[in-house]
Amino acid sequence: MEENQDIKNLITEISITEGDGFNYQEEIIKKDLLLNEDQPGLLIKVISILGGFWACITFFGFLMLAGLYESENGMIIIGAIFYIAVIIGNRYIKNIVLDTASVSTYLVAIGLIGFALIQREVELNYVFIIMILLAVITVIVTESKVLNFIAILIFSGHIQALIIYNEANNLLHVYNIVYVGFTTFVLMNEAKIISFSKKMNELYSPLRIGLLFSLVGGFVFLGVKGIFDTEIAYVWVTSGVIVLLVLYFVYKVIISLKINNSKTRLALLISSALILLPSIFAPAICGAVLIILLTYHQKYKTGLGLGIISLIYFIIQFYYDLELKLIEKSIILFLSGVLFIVAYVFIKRILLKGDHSDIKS
Amino acid sequence: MKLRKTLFMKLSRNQIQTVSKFSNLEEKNVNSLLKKNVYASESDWIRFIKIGLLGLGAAFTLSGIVFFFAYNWNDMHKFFKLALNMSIIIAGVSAILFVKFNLTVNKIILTGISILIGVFLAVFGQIYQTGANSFDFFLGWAIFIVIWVLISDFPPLWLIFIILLNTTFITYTQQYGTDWEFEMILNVLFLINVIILTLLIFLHSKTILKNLPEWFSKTIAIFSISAITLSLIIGVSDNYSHTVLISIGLALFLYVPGMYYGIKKRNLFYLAIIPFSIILVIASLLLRITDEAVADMYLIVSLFTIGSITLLIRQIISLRKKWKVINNNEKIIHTN
Repeated sequence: MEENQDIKNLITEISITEGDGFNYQEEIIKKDLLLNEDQPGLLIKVISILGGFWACITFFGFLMLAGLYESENGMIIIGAIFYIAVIIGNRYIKNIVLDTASVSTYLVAIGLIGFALIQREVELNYVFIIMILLAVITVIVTESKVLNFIAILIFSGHIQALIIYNEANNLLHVYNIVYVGFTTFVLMNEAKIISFSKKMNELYSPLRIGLLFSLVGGFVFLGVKGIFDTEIAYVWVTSGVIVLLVLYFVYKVIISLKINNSKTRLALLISSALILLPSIFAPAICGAVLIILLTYHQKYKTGLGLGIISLIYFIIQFYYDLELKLIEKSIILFLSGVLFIVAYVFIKRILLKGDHSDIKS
Repeated sequence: MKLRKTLFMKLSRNQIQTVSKFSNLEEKNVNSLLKKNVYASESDWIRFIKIGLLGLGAAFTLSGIVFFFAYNWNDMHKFFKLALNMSIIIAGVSAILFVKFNLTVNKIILTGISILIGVFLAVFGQIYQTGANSFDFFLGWAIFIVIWVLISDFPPLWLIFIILLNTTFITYTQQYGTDWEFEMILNVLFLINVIILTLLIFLHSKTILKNLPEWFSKTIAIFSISAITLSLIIGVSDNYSHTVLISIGLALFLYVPGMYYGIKKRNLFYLAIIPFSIILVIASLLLRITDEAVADMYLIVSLFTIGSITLLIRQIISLRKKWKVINNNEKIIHTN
């Protein structure tokens, strides 16, 4: 089969460039790659997701109608049983529909536990903490990419819920700063993480997309004015941190692309800082720019799409909230547009005639 | 060890990840593999900066202009508003006729001015307060652009036009208060779209119509099937009426040829969504059979769903494999 030959070629190529000492488990690699090549089409995925979801809903409808609704303890027990079954059983499920149904089951199990706890009037903070623990356990135990992704979202969401519920809104900035830092680290150190251990290798994809979504979620709370009031000073701190991270990233890329001309280096760094300056009041916008830069560097399409959509959304949100007259807004928008176009023409000129000593062909 | 030529086959991120998982590659090796095969290069970054600046520049300038008009809208003289709209349309037409743009750009401009015709009619209606008669608006819009749509050979414009036709029909039923039930409306929508789709497929097969992209026919097919499926589900769940019999008749009349078409053309899409629709309808029927919400029936439905969809997917996957082989064999025969 041609696919086998492709894989053999691949491994041979890598062995040659890596030299001796390259140890690999050939059979498993072959099997894994073949499995990935044979992915069912989008159509099948959509049908199995819808079907799995529907099957799960009706199943829990059955449970509820059979009397589960009456008993909170029952809900907790059933929820716990299904939770454990899903995170452990996920390795052994081969049926496509059950695979997607396991995701819905997981969500409903978590929902049941949460719902039951609230019905029993447990203090909300404890409910949040239990959810966070469940998410952490999921990440540790399960290999499934989808479940890990959902668990990361649950984790981040409940941390934010904790902050908001206890009215410590300024901590939202701490949340954002921590997440921004961690996301930057993860996106800039792909090699380090996936070569660290098998578990980390499997965890990398869901971690990356989960962090990005959690980050954008955090920005939404800051970006939409008036949802949560925080001190203005802290807004500056968050934006400042993000700008610093952007500069750090630009610096790293400059080094890795071997751009040696120090004038060029300085020009790039300064212009990056200048472009971000107008959005210093909106950490969400700076953050979206950072996401776009990081994901483009990795050529990570999904993340890039997310970054672009959130940038558009946050910019629109920002201008919408701006308390200026329409005419003033239109002037600002128009002038910014002209500025960008001027910058474009300027850069095009520089690249066309400028000094090519540092540009590899 | 002799060094051969460097990698000429580009690895994917997935492959690098898998190899890294099951071997002892070190971080710096993985890093260099990624940099060589996956990560953005210098020319990528240059393109990024160019597209980014241009895109942002265009978007901001355009929004600035739009905001300016929005601010002054109420104070603008009515002739000015209409004249502005019409002059953009005229500019578009002139651009197509007199400027040698390439074909795709012309088609995009044509789509733009087709939409602007609608905007023009809307502004007209707003100025002269013609009343909330949306049927006339959509009908007029459709009639005015039908010639452009037919000559355009541009599927996105066709799609917009089909949406327009559907909207015209829906507003007709709302405005002229027929006593058609909701399901009947859905049935007619299904019929209209299926007729259009069949016509297009037929013309395409006779090579009268050269360009019929997959995404286009699939979109229409999905919309039509959703309409009839919804109609059947409602018909089955409510009190039985004559309408549901018509729905079932329509569905049978068109599903069978649909499946046949799928088998003949080896197109998995129709063979997947038609059975999926049937499964959904049967599931609703099962739920309806018991008058109140009986717990056991939910369990049955749940198991039925898992079973039937698994069966469907297994069939699709095996058909896919079988057809892949047949397609490959055909390719070999053709090239010999």
